[in-house]
Amino acid sequence: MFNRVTLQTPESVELEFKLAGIGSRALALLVDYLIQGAVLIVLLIGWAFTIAGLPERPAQFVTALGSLGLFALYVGYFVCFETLWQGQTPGKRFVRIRVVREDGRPVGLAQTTLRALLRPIDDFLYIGVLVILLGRREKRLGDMAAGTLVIQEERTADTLELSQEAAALAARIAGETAVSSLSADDFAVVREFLIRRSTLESRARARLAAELVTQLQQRIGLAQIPNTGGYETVIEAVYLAYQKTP
Amino acid sequence: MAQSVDRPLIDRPLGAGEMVSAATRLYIANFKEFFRLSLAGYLWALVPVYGWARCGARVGLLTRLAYNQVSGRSEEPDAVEQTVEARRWRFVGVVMLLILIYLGGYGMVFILGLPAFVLALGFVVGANAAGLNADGNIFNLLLFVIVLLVWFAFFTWLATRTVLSDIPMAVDAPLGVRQSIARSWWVTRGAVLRLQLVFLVAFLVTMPLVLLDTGLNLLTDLLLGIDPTGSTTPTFPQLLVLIPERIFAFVVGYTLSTPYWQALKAVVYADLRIRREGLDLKLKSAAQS
Repeated sequence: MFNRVTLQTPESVELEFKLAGIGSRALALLVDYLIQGAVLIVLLIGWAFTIAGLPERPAQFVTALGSLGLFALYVGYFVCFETLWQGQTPGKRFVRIRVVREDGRPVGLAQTTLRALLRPIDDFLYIGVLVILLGRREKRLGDMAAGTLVIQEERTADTLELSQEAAALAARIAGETAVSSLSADDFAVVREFLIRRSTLESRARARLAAELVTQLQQRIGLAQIPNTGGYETVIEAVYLAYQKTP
Repeated sequence: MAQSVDRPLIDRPLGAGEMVSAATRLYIANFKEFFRLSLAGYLWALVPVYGWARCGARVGLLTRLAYNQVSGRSEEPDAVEQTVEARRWRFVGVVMLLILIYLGGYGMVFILGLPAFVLALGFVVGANAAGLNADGNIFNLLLFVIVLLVWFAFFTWLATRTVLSDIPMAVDAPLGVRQSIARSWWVTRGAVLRLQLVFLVAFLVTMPLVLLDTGLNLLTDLLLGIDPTGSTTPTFPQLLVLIPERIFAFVVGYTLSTPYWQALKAVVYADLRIRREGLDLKLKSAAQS
């Protein structure tokens, strides 16, 4: 579903990235434009109050200055954030996407400026959207000129809340079972369950926990299920025990 | 051909933007097939009653094809066709029941809202009598804005909770009309704001489709020498061109956008099921056996 690209870094290391996709990019842009809009309103109010009390010539001067400021806001916003935040703006940070160079390195001032200057053309008549949808690497004109890609970031690890009983049980599981034989994929499922269990519907949550424990029992050779705390405690304990294995 | 997919395209909960990306790619990858089905559906829809059922089945078919790709389910094309055609009248049933639900919603707003409205009106009248509201009708305006906001929020909520009503009918095991709507209600619980964000982003991305329609209408107006703002009444010869063009633009607009929104709803339904039922949370090798 999502385009993946393999990039070669200058050190000839191959990195795989997932491209950001049109939806995430549109959402990020929406957030950025909302922020810019809010700043714009504040500036306009400030401008109105400033020129209200001024004679004609200084008022014209302030207005000219304001137009410059407008351009600086539209272009400078993206240039500053993307340069200082390693390819991210507040909107991009919100949807966890990032601009990188085609070799995977962070973008610099040259790339971000080129992207920002071509942005009006990309925005005009949805040219950018069409070019992104038609191209294999989902680049808008600004990306083509600057040699950049927009990638999706992997999710960062959430911190888990685990019960007290799990810690004691983990020590037992680490000692008595082959918990280290769990594959990385299996462990990922265990972790994913613990992260998302609170959002699961309650019956689905109970059923999944029971199924998962049965599967895990076979996988690591846990003979009987300890009767403290129920299935989810066992899953938490397996999670802890696996983490402690070297 | 498109049905030989085994790996689900969605195997974890997605963000709002990711859902729109997924639907967009689904739409582009299957454009020809989806467009053909959508067009057949809308042509059938011109035939009253029986045609509506056929239209429901065509759109249901494209929805099921989209969902199969999203969830990695493989089905024979003939089997998909038979499944949705067998349910054609129930698609009409879903729409009918939804209309009743919305009418019920209107009724409920009146019944529950009336006492509150009378109370607020009493307050405004009282404020007027006391001379608090003498200059500028502040309270009248406030009352109007509050009523409007509550009205808007309620129907946005109702529409979002029922937006997936036709999806279970098209993609799940055989269901009754009520069950299909109930399933939409169940999966969308607590997801209204996130879904609104998804639909907002999808609307922005598909704006070119909307503009295509508007552009076509505007072009016709200009060619015929009609004022697009509608200040002049078109003459009879102008109407002979104008009416077919408007119908054409309407059908093209709907034919193009329906597959997109059905694909998006299929993606949303798959995502919500993954979130609520944890369909992906099984150990991999065990899931294969």
